[in-house]
Amino acid sequence: MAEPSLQRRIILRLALATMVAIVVGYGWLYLKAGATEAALRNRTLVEQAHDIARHLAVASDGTATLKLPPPLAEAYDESHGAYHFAVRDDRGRLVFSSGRQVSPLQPSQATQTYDYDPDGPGPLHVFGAAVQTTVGGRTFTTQVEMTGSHDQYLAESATEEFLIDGGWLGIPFLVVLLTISILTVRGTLAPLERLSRLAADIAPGKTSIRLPEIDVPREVMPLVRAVNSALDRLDEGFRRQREFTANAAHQLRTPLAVLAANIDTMPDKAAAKQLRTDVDAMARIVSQLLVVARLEATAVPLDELVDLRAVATQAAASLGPLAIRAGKTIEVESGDQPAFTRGSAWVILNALGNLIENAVAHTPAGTAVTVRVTDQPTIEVRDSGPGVPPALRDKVFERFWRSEQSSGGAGLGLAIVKRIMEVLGGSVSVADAPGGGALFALRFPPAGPQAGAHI
Amino acid sequence: MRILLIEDHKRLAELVVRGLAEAGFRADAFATADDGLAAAKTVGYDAIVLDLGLPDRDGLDVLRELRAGADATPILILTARDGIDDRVAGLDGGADDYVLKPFAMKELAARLRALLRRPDAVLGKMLSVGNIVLDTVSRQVKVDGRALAIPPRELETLELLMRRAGQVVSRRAIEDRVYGFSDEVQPNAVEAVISRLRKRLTGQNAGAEIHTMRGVGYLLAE
Repeated sequence: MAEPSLQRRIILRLALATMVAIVVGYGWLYLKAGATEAALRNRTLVEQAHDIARHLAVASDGTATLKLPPPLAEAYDESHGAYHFAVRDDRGRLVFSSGRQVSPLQPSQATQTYDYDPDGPGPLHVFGAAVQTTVGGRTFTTQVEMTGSHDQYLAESATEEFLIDGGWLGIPFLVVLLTISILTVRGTLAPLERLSRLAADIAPGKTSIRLPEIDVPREVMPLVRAVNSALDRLDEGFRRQREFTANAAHQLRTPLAVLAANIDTMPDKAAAKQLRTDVDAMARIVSQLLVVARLEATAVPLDELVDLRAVATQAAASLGPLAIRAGKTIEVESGDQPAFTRGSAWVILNALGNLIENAVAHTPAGTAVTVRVTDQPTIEVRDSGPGVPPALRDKVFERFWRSEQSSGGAGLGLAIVKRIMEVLGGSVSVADAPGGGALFALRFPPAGPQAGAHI
Repeated sequence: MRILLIEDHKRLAELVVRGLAEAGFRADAFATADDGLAAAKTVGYDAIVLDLGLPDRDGLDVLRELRAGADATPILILTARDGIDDRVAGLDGGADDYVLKPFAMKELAARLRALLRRPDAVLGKMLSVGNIVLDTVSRQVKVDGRALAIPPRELETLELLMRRAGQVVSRRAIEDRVYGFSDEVQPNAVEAVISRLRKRLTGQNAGAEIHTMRGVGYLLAE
């Protein structure tokens, strides 16, 4: 499922609000127009009633007469029943009418307006006005009624007003409003995108990055501050971890140094030699644990440009004396081209040292351990020992796993190699060497095309 | 030879003093940076062994202060830190060598001797590995007490291998040592020199052998 888009949400709600505003505004205008219409209509009806009443007369014999001027009479005739009138005397008797029945009204006051539905819920509606006039001492009530469709009339009028009075302006207004909203939202979110790009660069080795607090909208500031303060705490945690491993190195190695010095000054040299071997094994475990601790605490910068040929030579040189004492040797094969990777020479040296030490332990006396560097870049360590059976090839990289026939060490070596290669973004694998023996291969990420610029 | 030892761990300091005494050095131990610095300024020590983890100040600070003056006393760092940066910082700070804890007393004594063997030092005139003895001043080599005539390039190579006995010496290091800048070095020149030297030594039943590590270098071992 896609994440809810802030931009879309803002625009949607804004569009909805604008549309509601337009509907409410014109609804109100519609009602108001309706009211104005009704008032106008009523006044017109009253005027019309007065116009008719003005032509009422009472003869000397008491008979009422109505002599409408022809234009007026024609107007009523030609309205096709839309308009009609009726005049009643003071006793309610109908004395004149335009031919159609009008509502029997009980006059209550001098002037009144009314309306009713002649057909119940049907479309017809009748609006009427009644005025009372006194002619010749007699009181007459003159009614004028108009039959029409209430709703249709008003709807037409409102639409007309909407179009004529600039109601259409609402549409471009909505478009402009949405455009401004989109631009505002985009503009507001731009600093957030910039912050996201910065935050994406934060990695365990690069915890010193902080999000900038300038050019950040005030509303986003709490988030930026919270992230920065979380980073501060993380950084502090990493720093403590680094301090811990540095202290642990000191705390563990100094007693070992005391022990070793004690052994070295023992008079029984034979016993001293055996004890010394044990102390050396212990010192190696401490070193390996510290390598892992440092890696996990990201206390090692991993952006160094490393020539694997130099690392291979250095590792072989430092383990050479050990191999030669055991009647074995170490060879390094590498091409003329540098084999660059990005990482830490110290860390790679530790990984390779572990592999070479293992190979020296397993290769028979009189044979060589071969370290081969390729520009893939890879480093292969080959021995002439018994090799690693396929079933055990994953197991040998587990922490504290040791084969039964091996001796010395704590079984950390290959687990550390695996961890180191993971951290460096490479891998380690084991296979059969051509002609027997084990072949361990370290694969490193290439340093990339920019590596050449540093040579 | 008088050595200044600045090490806060009391037991270790005692043992190092005793071990160095067996190797023929007289060592004074101080447990803090301030005491050690004061001693270094008043007594003319031949070498200083400095622990990096001191209670009052960091050993690297002490190193910088010692090196701030014109004092060229060799300084050997004794450290529990093995991070690559620590080593670089130590050597950049003016240390001459470092030994990682735990160490063998023999190694510490050997490294100190190597430091004192440098041009202005008096000790270490004679190098010996197995039954091979090389007098660095008179340029004479004896195998099992018998004098052996060796041509200059082979002698230079032997001296380099003996100074770093038990360690790997790269082919490049030998090339740099044996040939001058102006010399045209044949691709297999070092191999040829080593081969002749090896024959000469085995011919005399030398108690040490030159091992070849293909692609790495050479190593002289008993």
